[in-house]
Amino acid sequence: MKGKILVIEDNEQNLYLTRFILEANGYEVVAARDGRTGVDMAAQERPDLILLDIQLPGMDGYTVAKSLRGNPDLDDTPIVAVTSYAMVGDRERGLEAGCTGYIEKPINPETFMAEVEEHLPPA
Amino acid sequence: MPTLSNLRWRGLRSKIIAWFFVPTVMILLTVAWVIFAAYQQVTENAAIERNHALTTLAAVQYTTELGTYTDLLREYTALFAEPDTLSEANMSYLQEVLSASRGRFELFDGGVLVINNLGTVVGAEPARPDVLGENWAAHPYFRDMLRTPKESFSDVTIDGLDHAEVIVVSVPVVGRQGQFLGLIAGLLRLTGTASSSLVQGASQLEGGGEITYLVDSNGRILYHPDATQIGADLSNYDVVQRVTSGQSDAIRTQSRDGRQIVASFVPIPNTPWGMVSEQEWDALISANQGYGTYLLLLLIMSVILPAIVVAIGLRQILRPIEQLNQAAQQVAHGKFGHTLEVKTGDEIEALTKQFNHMSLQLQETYASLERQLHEQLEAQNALRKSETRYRTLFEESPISLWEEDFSGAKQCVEQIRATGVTDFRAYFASHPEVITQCAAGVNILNVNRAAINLLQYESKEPLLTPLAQIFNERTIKTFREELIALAEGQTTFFMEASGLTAHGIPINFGLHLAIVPGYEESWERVFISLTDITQRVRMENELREHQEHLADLVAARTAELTISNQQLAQEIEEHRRTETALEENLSRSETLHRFSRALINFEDLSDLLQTVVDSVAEALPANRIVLYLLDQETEKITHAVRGGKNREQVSEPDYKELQAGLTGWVLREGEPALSPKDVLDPRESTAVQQRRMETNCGAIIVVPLQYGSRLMGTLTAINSPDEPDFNQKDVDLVMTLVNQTAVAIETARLYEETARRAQELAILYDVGQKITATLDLDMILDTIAQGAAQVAQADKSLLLLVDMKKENLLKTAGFGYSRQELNRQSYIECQDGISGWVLQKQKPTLSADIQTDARNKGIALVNAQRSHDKSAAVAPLIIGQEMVGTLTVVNGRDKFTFTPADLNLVTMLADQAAAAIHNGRLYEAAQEADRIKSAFLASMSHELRTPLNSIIGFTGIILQGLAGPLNDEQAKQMRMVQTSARHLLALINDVLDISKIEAGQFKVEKADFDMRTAVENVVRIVQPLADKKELPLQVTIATDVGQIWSDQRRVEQILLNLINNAIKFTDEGQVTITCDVDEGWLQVDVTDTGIGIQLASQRQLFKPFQQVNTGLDRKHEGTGLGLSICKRLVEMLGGQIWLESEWQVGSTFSFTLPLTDGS
Repeated sequence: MKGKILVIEDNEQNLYLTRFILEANGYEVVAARDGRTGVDMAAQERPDLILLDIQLPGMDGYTVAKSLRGNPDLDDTPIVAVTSYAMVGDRERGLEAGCTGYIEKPINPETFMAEVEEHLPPA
Repeated sequence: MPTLSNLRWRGLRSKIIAWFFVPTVMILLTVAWVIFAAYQQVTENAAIERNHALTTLAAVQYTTELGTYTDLLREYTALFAEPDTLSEANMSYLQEVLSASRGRFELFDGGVLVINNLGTVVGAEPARPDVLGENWAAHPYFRDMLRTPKESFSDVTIDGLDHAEVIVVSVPVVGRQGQFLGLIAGLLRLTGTASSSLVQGASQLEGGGEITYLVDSNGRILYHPDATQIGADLSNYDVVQRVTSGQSDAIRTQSRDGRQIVASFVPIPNTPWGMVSEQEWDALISANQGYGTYLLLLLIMSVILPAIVVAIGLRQILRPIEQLNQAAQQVAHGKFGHTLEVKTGDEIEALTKQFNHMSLQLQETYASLERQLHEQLEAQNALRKSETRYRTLFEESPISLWEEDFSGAKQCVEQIRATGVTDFRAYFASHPEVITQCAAGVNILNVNRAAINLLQYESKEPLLTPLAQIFNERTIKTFREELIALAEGQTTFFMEASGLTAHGIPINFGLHLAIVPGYEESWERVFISLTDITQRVRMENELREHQEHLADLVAARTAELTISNQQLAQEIEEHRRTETALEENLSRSETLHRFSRALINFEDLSDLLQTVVDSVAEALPANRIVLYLLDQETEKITHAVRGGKNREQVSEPDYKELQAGLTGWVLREGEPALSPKDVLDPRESTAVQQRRMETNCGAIIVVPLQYGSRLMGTLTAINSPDEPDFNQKDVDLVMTLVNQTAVAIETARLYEETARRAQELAILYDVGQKITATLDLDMILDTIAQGAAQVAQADKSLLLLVDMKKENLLKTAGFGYSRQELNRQSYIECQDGISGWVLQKQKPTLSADIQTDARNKGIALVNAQRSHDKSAAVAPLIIGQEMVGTLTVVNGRDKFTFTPADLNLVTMLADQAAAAIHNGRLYEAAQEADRIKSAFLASMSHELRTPLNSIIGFTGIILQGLAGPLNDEQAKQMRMVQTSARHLLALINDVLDISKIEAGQFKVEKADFDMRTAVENVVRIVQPLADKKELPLQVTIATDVGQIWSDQRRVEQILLNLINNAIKFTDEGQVTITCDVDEGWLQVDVTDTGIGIQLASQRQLFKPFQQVNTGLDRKHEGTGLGLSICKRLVEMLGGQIWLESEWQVGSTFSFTLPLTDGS
């Protein structure tokens, strides 16, 4: 097992897609369907990386990122925003909120893994 | 005087030589000698040591040589080691053995013997029957050997018992049990030839010296290079004695024949012998002979060097002294001022400086002496010249001159004075004879030619007669006067006198007597000159007669003159009056002039009025001046300015009181008034008349201050009763001043008005600028409120925005109010006040005092100090037909009341405000709409992308085979799905981009990047596409294309778009991309050989949603947004994009970008 990745994503299909790619590449995937669950799971599971959808029901992705960063245990955990938001300032807002990286949706399955692994510390 | 040359050897030179040179030389010589001696000692010792060492070495070598003898013999000892071998019985055997070894014993020229332990000779080689069987136990050498057998060399001994002298080398023969059996002895002849073995061995000896020889322990020479010496007995020679006693040394000594030698001697080990090597001392030292030369050289140097040093030193010391001496000689010969330049830096230089100083002093003194002498000579010459000149002057003078000696007369006078006489005139009058006596004391020394001529003589002589002899009555009288004058201490004296010429003709002359300066005490030289005044005296007489005649005539005409004199006096008086008047006019003109200047330059009205008053006070004999400026509408005195020296006496009346007096009349009539003193003026009221009589009041002038028909005020001038009355001229003067003042005041008023107007306009403009520059409603309101207060010069301003339909107060802004006060305001309050009235009536209004204004229901305006508020101006804010608020300005009790003009300004501002508020509202609405649009776009983008994410993602996964294998048809169809999905995504992205661009939300992020890399990135992406269509992509990037300051992502987007298009629209041929840099600009051309674009379509191409249709079938997919986005992007990055195309031939799309921000 290469590592544990927490995926916070509300869309079922997209979650499945992401999980598929990650697992196909040998990662353990834990998933949360909303921000609050995501924050709790991150504290419990201590994943190696968090993939975070920005548009989430209830607590939005920026808030989730801030909450995650509020947990000192997760200081070193990379948070990669995966979002279809592509308006001006989305990227900056994401980084300000504490994200380490930013992958724009729709993802490219051929390059997605490489983009994610860029933020993972070398095994 | 001694010279240096004859001093030489007793002088400094000899002293320096004696004190320095000789001791130095001696010291150097001693040192040189000691060094040499020490050196020689050392080198000699070394030579001796070396000699000894060499000799020792030779001795050792020789010892080795000797080993060969014993070795040879020792070989045979083994043969004879059996106990009985050396018995006499065995002699024949021994002889046989020895004979067999004959050749080997050649070394021993004396032969070899074998002796047994009993001392019997048992063998000999060569065979010596004579000795065989002999017992040599008594032989001195063998005896010792038999007793203490050992390998040894003998001293000189004899062969056998009585034979020649030999040296024996013996080796003991030892039995197997170690018992002594006998000896084998080799004999060496002492007097052997040069070929004898001993000599052969020894002749190679090389000791340290020239002669090396061997001696035995008895002092006998064993070997000597001089063969004749061999065998000689040297036992008495001390060197030999020492070596035979075992010493090893080298000494300097005398040879046996008395030569100086060095003898080295060493005992030769294992033998009783010694080796001596003798070396001639001189030969030994010859190597050191050079030292003698060095010594000599050293000695010479030790003499020469100090000599040179002393010579140079002497030269250095003596030369300046010689120079000094020469210079001193020159000075002695009178060449003063001779100086020297010596830079030795020692006492001599100091001495030289002193000498130079002395020399210059001498020169100066001498020059001074010469100058004095010269001056003296010149003085004498001048004296002589002066004397001559004096003589000439005296003789040639046109004035008659006598040079006389009065010293006798002086004595005479002094005698008289001694008797106590002080009044000489009286004395001489009573003692006329004394004059003659005194005259005798006068000598005439000389007379000049003019004197002779004057008195008509032929020569000098008669005139040189003593004075007393030519006395007559006239001359006595003259002389008496002279004497009195002199006696009274005068040094010059003049009188008119008369006398007779030589021909007896009477002559009048002026006599001038002068004591020559310097002779005032002795009177020895006195000059007397006579001037002929006969003619003058005659003319004076004639003149006197004429005057007398004239006096008669004058007397006759006196009456006439008196009359004309009176007329003249009148004329003068008239003239004087005119002058006074002129002066007065001048003074007034000056006042006017000064005043005019004040008018032109005035800045402050009060100052100007004071100037007017002061000018009037100056120009008029008035002691009280007062100027009133009046506001006839309000019946108020606005300014009252006082002047004159009694200004304090001017009362301070109010407007009404003024009306009662003369001022009232002037104001009514508009005419100036002059009221003389002590007259009841009917133009004044009775009360005023009364008061005027009571107060100390003289005449009064009152003039109106008037511009056109506008009466501004009056000026009153009052004088005191004791001053002259005012006249019409005074009135005119005052009128002139006052009229000018009126003009000035009017000008100032106009100026102020203009300035105010300009200021108002400036404020209005400023406010307009500010409120149009922003769309922020709060800021607009604040700006307007502040501007209103400024433009109306109001204490406070208040702006209310209301919604009348909803009866709601929307916003308040104000100036002079706190935010709290503004926030407390309510709609009801607005309605209650004058604002409410304005909102209802929709027109502006003024309120002189809001406290008493009926429209104000008491709680109208926000104001903590409401009772202080007084004047207000309120204007409505109207947008279209709708009342949206009011703008109010308020002034306190201490400020002016607003005028319609102020209201006008406020209204103008209110209109501006309404327009600005309208704009602001519209802008807020537009912003809101924009926000909604952006939010919609963001949302739509997201909503569309979310499902697309799944579609593209899963398609990709399936195509990758991650979800299981696909057959070809499935794969083909999946790729179609993928292509469509990507196209849809591109569409969404393009729509999003274009909408962002249009909303102005699109931002470029510039940074430095490598253009080459960017182009390569894009080419890498599109290469598969081109490969698929088998289109070559030709990329040419100029070498100077490198870093560029732009937005890499956007540049790549543009490139991607253009190249994608080119590939898309080209079926065959190629696509060329060139990239070049020119003067700060980057240009990229994307050329294809595609279908081309018709001219008509080219213009449409860069507009959104335009794709050139090639026919009814839309063969080429695309949003039609790409080029439009490209154009926007290029422009946002500061560049341009264009295209050149030919239908059916191809197109070139080009764009430029600035390389840096600056270009």
